[in-house]
Amino acid sequence: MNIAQIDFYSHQNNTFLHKMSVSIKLLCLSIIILFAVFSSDYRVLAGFAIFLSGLILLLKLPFKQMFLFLIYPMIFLIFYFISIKNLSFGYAFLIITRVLTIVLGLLTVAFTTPYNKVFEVFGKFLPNKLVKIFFLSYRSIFILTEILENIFTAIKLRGGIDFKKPFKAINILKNVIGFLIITSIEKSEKMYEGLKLRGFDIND
Amino acid sequence: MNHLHIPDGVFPIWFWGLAYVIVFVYLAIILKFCKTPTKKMALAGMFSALMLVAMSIELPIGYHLNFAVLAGILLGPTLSVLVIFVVNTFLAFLGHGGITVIGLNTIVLSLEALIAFGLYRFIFVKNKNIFIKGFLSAFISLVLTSFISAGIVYAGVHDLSYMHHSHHGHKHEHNLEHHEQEMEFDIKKFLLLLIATGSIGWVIESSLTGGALQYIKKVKPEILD
Repeated sequence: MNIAQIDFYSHQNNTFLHKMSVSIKLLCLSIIILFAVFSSDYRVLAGFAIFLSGLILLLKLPFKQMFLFLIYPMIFLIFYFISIKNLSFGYAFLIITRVLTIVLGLLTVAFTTPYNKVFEVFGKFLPNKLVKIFFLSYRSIFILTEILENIFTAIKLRGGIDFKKPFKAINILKNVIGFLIITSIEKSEKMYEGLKLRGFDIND
Repeated sequence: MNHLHIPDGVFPIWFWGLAYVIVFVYLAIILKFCKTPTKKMALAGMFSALMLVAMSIELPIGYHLNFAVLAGILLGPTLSVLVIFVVNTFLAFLGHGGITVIGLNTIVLSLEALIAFGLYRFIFVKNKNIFIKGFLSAFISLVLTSFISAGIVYAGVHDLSYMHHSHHGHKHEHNLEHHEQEMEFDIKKFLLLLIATGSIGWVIESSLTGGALQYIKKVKPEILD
């Protein structure tokens, strides 16, 4: 999962969904979620999921990449269904179509709307401090992604991580994580200094 | 698997609604009454990003790191909860966890962070080997929260009869109700699946947590003070 990559697609601005107002998109998404949560007819929900898939294909959004995001909810559903005694097909289809509809709706919005625009809308009803943390996180993602990419390039040049040798792989990864934590703390201090210089105060 | 990847639409409204209320009350208390200087908030923002970026590190068994334990140990009980909420909100917009279960996911991961914080700072405080200290704090916390996760799923879905009401007006109402009356969530089976798939991940994440803390102690020990 690479948020920086999703952000790249959301900034393409080449489809009508990219150009649509963020508030309207979020309102439509809320309606889809509420409809799916309350709906009890899996055929209608399946229709919605097919419609959203068609929309994704029509807009030439990266369907394969989006499809990968369905894996985690599906893993949960497999566990969940295995754990239900006398599972009825009606219930299973209902839950699957609900999940598909909601996740496809979310992904369509995520791949066509930059996160910062979503947070601007959040700012209308969430506390100011919280929204500022969202913005700081968003900004930091790109700084850390670049650092992580550089680290992995360096590791690859030295032979890469071989998971067939788990102890060695864990040893390399723990150093990567330790380094990443130290770097992120240092970067946060630099970011604080920059913010302070510009008169930024989280409590304003 | 300790992180609930529960999608929207599985739990009843009262259940996820209650989780949202608990989380928002906790966050409101943190934001209103706890000291939140800009420096701490910059750190919170950077650590949220770190958790999100770390998830892109692919492990071959399909497990992804979440760093809630490290957040708990390094940031403490207030800031880590704030960070976890932000991370869950980011992830929910990708269908990784659901929008309606942001509250539930925040509770589970916050418990993971809080348990690890408590173990690291109070229970294993005398242990001088930082790797073992970090490993045990992470491992116990991951195991406990997996049980809590299973408990949460059970609490939310053990009474599948609520599904009956949502099928009114459906053409297959009678057939479905007939089947659903017999449906029952088997928590033991669910736990067994969690343990079977999660145990390797717990060991990997705990080793990485212990190892990362060891690395920090060598390179920049003041962070751990």
